[in-house]
Amino acid sequence: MSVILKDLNDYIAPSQACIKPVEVKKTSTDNNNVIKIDNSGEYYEVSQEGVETKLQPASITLEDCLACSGCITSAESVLITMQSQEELYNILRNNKQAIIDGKSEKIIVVSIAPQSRASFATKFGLSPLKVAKRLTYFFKSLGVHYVFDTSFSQDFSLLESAREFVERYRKFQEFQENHGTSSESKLTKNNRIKRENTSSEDATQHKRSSDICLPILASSCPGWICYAEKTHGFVLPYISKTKSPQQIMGSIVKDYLASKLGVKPNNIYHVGVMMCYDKKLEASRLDFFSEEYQTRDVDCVLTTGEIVKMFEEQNFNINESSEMPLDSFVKTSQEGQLLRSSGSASGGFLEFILEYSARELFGITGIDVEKEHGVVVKIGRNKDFKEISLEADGKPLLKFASAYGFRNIQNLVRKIKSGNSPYHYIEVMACPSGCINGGGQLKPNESLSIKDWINEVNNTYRSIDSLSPEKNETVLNLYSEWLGGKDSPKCKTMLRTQYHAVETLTNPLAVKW
Amino acid sequence: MPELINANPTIYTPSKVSHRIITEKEEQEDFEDTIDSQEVFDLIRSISDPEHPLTLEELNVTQLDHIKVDDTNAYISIEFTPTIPHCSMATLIGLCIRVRLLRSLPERFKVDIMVRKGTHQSEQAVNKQLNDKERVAAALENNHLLEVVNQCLSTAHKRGNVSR
Amino acid sequence: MTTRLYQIAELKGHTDRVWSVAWSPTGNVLASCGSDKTVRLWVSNSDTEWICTNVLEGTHKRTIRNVAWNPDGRQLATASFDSLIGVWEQEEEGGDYESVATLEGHENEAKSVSWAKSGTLLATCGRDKSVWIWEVGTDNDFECLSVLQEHTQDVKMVMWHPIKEILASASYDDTIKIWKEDEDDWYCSDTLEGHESTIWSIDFDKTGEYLVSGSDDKTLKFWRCYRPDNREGIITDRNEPKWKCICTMSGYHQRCIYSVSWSKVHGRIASCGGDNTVRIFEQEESTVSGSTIDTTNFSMIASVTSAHGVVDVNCVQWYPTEKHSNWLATAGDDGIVRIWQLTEE
Repeated sequence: MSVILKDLNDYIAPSQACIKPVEVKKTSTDNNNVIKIDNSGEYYEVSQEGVETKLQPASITLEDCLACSGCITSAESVLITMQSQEELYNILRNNKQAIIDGKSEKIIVVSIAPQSRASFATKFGLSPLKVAKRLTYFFKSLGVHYVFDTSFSQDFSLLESAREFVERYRKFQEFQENHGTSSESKLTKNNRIKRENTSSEDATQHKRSSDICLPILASSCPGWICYAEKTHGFVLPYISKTKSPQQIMGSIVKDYLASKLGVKPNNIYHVGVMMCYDKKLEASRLDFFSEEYQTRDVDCVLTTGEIVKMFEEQNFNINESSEMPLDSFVKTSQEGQLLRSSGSASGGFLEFILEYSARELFGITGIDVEKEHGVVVKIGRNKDFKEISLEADGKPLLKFASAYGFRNIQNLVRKIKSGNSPYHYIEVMACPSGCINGGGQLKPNESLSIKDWINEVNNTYRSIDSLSPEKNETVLNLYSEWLGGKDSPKCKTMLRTQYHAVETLTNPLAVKW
Repeated sequence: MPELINANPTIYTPSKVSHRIITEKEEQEDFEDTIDSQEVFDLIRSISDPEHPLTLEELNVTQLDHIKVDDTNAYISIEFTPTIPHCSMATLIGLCIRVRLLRSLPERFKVDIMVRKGTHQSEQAVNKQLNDKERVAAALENNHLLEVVNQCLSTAHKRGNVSR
Repeated sequence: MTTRLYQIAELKGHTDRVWSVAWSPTGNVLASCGSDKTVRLWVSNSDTEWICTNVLEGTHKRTIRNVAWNPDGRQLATASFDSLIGVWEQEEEGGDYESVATLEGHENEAKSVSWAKSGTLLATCGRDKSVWIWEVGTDNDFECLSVLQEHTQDVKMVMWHPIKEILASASYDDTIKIWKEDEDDWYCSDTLEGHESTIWSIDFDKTGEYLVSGSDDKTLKFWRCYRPDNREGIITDRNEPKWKCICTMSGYHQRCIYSVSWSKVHGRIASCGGDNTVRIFEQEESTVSGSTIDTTNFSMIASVTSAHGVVDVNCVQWYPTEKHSNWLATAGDDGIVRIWQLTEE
């Protein structure tokens, strides 16, 4: 376990010991028993007669973890045990038994992130398309019914994020006009709020309702969300309310697909294959749990690395594997080629939102952010901070930025707190280099440096053609067929979510010092 | 109240060791006591457990035999026994003992507080933390924690004369 | 000839434990800080007469654990248990010090601050196991350049190399780490293992080729930096210099060592700790074929027991310049700052 934890590229190391108080059941009522620890750290209760009973270790659930401010980090050790390939194997076994018993089996759906696919492709020297077809074969031969990709749901995420941005930008403008300050002066004001009085100014500043908070901060990175909820409650109103690609896929599978197949959501078992351990945490959020059906939108998340472990366990050789055609909820061209969205390998949020809002807000078309066409790009102090602005006559109309990694998140949080952020939108990711370098991704062979490896995976990711989400016919059709139009109430429940500041620990017995 | 770490602790009869008889001379304020293990035990035996209305002596957490005092060299070492080996209260109990002694002993004493060998899963970690004065100092600036410590110490003055 | 330490002044004013002292780069001012949440600045009229000229307070809500001057002596940085880093500046000569920035970022107790020689970088560390590197911008605008999280425990102290932009950090995880910058970020270039408990304090010699560390394991260790293809044949990897322990001094301090200071003027090393003592060490010299060379041996040349009565000595600092290079300042749990003079008779 420690090996896995050490290799994580997450931005905060897991805390050493969980301090959440838990209940321990004693096995006997005999008060003269003694407790002893053996060499391996197991403990036993020894009765007066010398009988040893092994005591059960206390267990902590993911929900406990999310609700606790004891440690800032996601407790990866909990994640790894709660959502593991063992769980998937169990479901598969139960299904086989159900068929024998003549009972109905669960529908099993696997959704693969394009970043994971790129990691497999680079590691095994295959094209992303071959990887997609071979993973489809692999999972289906195990008994999985559908294999999708989250590039597909990412298009919903992009469209919805862009619409949200335009909405909020307009409300912000309106608010500024009514209150006599131009947006520009508000966003770029130079008077630093100083020390002692920050708390009172914070309070007034953050009373503003979230629909006029700019910049909007991207929401698809669960590590960042978890950190913000646990330590920077004031920043939550700025975070985009659009669900991540993983969770929108969850809505599609547990709502649309369930009704299409005529099954209850809890009769579908949905597995995400992701680049990041924190995606497990995201899947466990109560916001994505249906009380009615007692089921999660995504039941289990496995990382790229955990899938490779499954290959080994199943004696599966991806380099010599058969292939199977792709299922419908995979972003492909009519000719069956894989497609992606333009922009960064962290999802292309910044690029799409900027292109969309340039058109919607200023009537500017024809810009291509990925090719740096029609925008001004400035690399920051380090490669993980980039500033991209849309200008007209030398004056900035929109200022966007991408901030990856903990150090850049720090500066960003401080700037927002002091009202010094000049940006309208920031693509925030907890990992340096973004999602392509997620903690769950495959590692390079010894000979290659991490930097070169990330470049290679990035290139693989970008080796497939891009298509604007606005041209994804399947997605556009689902907007009307499934959601009932772009402004329907169902859009809100299926595509958007909310955040909750975690209260600081008040149980003094659990204070870590 | 959250769930207890150790819901059913073993309770021991308070020790039969006689309590110190304080002489008239000793009661005078300027009297510089020589400190012995009985005195140290008396100072800490009636500290309350953070979770139970019981004293450390009643829970056998502190015992006279596990206290060593070298008055000449102003050195004291104390070993305590957590009620269960994974007890997450161990550092808190240790902290209470430390604070009690910080407040009651002449400042010339250097005190080491340790978990008794083999009685706690993370013995070394607990010991290291309890004997790091910076960690202790910072802990005592945390009001939540200080409140609990003070609560535990509110019975410490009873020096073993606990009536149930 | 014997070498002895004499107390020459006693600076009273703090109302609680004093954690740290720091001489300004010229030695004209001594700053001290502690549990009473204040920084006090002291100047001497004569060798024995000292006055407290400034009390810096209000910013920190909890203990001020450490204080450091920037290289031009115009600013002070403070690290506090309230998790904040304070930056203070004197408004005008002889005037008050104003808090010009507070740096948020550490999750809990901040424990040490250090300014790089250039004055453009500030390093901080704390119980959250992290080391932060900040860039000092214009107009007191500090930007976080890196958050280094490779220590597995509480980081007790950070100290910049006296010449280069190389940082050392000492931790409760019993290791010292050396940090350097590559094109885009900082990385750990070496981990110094050998101490058996928390390392509380580190200091470089004036060349930055040697490092001394003081630990809860009651020893001082001396480390030397070996470059790739060094004459001694010490193996280095990844083309990085390798730090090796060249000498361990045990049996001197009886309890935890809280502070070490390596004089940049005369090369003597001072240490102090929980055994109430201050001790002075010197590198032994030997003559090989007519020329004097430094050996890897160190010896104790002076000590004071009960330097602050019966309580711990938390910090020791050599005077920084030639003028009074044999002066030392110490800070104690008794709330007092003392100035000592090393004399040879």
